[in-house]
Amino acid sequence: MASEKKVVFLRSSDGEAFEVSEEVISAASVTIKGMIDEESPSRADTAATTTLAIPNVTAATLSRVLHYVNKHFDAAAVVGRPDDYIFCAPGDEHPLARFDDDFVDVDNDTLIDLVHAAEYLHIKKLFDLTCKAVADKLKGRTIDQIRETFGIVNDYTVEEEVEVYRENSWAF
Amino acid sequence: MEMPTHYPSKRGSMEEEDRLSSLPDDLLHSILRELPFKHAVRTSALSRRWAPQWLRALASSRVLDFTDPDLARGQLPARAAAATMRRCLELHAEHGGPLDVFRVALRSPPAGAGSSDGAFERDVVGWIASAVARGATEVEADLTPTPTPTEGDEDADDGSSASVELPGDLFVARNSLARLALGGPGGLAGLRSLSLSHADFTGEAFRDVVSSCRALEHLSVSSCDALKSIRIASETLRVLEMVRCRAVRELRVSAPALESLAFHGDIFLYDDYVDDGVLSSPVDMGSTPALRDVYLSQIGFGHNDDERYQVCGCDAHAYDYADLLSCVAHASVCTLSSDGWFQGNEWDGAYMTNIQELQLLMTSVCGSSDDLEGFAGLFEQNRLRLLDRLFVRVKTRSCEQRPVVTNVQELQLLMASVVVDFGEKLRFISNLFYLSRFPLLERLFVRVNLCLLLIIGPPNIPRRHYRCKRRGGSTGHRGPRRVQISGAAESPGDEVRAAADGLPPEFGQCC
Repeated sequence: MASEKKVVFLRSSDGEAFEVSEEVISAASVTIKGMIDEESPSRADTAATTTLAIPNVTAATLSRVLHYVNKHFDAAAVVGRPDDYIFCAPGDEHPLARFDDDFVDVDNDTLIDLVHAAEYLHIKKLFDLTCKAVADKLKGRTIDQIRETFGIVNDYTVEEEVEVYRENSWAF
Repeated sequence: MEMPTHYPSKRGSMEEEDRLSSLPDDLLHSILRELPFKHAVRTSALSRRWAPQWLRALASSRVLDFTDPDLARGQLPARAAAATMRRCLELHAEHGGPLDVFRVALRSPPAGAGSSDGAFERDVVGWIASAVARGATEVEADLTPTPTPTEGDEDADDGSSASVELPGDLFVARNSLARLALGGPGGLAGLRSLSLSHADFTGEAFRDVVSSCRALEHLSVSSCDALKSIRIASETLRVLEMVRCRAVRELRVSAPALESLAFHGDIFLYDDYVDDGVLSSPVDMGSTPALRDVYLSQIGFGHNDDERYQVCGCDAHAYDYADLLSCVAHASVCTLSSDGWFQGNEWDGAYMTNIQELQLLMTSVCGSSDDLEGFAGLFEQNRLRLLDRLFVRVKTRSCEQRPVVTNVQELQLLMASVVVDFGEKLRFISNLFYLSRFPLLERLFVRVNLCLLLIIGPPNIPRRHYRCKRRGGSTGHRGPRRVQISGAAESPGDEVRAAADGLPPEFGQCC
């Protein structure tokens, strides 16, 4: 069969399978590349498509991740360096900068799911992007606003809280 | 890694649970590292879970960036922030993880505002040093001094914040420093002395560093093997030392205040600078009216077989030296080392008209007569009217085991044997000083192989106290400072010893 169009299936924690180019996902995810490499000896003769279980990532998140991966890989292909994994930082004059901005413009839960997924799948650029996005949500806000946004419970006693503020008073 | 059981169905209802705080520490740290320093510190107030996280996050980070633009506007916060940074760096060092990038930008407390003990600057210097020592490839420090009400720039000479000094051994550790930026607008404006050694600088990075140090007075570069081009433009630079930077092929200095120059290095090659068939000199020292003290030494890293010499079709070797020498020949104290200086140089008549003290360190007089001829050429073509001290060190192969001279008989014996060794050469040298070209010359010191000191006085000058003329405010450390040769010395041995006291350090102590 056409070896240049190998695909793998990724099965999410909730059982949904997603098709993705083996080449794309190998370039993007260190974790999945490792899985594929482990599988490959047995695959050579079966020619059957491989299905990899991704137990830590739900379908909703996985589909987002694959959207990101495909988008970024396509960009790399256009540039003609298919082996390179190109990332465009937000703010770059690159179409993907816009894509990235939109990609992380999601609610907190979705974003944290993406952080988990990027970390598990070992997609460094996606991990950096999502961590930065979380950080950006922390940055523009007061302590109270951050607590409210993320549902963080203030478990300090009054004395402790005073002490924390006093210790780093220059930062507030 | 367990999967949270509540994953992911409750989109939009994040109020109920704190999924952010539930992230594992390492993920939390990755997020915190994306925050500016100040904002990261603030998260300590969120909850107990968050209290220690920012510090741990930074302590395990490869990048320490303390350049938050709104960090510490006043001086009090600056000091508090500095204390926090110190904690952070200490923990980082304890943690032992790699450090790639270190940046700091702070408003330093104004001079004399309660903290003029320089502790703040020492802190920063310590940080820079430890960052470099730990292998950081990018180091930036920007200490904008807080403007003081009494601005008086020149008065800031009290050793307070205006005198940040990086220690000479700061960069002795071999590292691959790619970028060192000190300062910025206002910069490490107080930095006066900077020593760089074994740092892999490019010419560009070097230029950036130097141009950011606006008050720099003393610059020493040694063993920076990646440095190909030394370009310096400084209004304040007084002392410049370039030692063993083997790759340097271009030297362009614009330092009108320069007083002392030491160059101990290889030659430059012209062929890199051929432009439209015209050789443009890779050496440009600009105008240095205050230049007093020069030390030029060739170390010869074995480029003699370099085919690029042949490209020039001439003795580029010597030609280049002459060029550098001509840039600095108006100095009053000059030390020239190695034979290369004398080989085939066409001594310009304008050379060395101001020279008062000349030290020649020659290594291979026995091997080649060219040196001596070049040496003679120096005296033939220059009327060294102001010369009052001449030191010559000659190394010969034949007198390596000479004992230290202790009395005049021995001296005469050795003198005789040296004359035999050198034959005509030494006589030639000594004859030079009977030519009354040097009306002020009172003593000629000839040092042979670091163990023999010969003193040859022109016969018509009576022995008397040698008055050492101290040059006002001289920074040169190579000239004699204590020269006391008593008239009618009781024992010749005393005289030899006394004369040795007045010798430049390069001559070593023979007694």
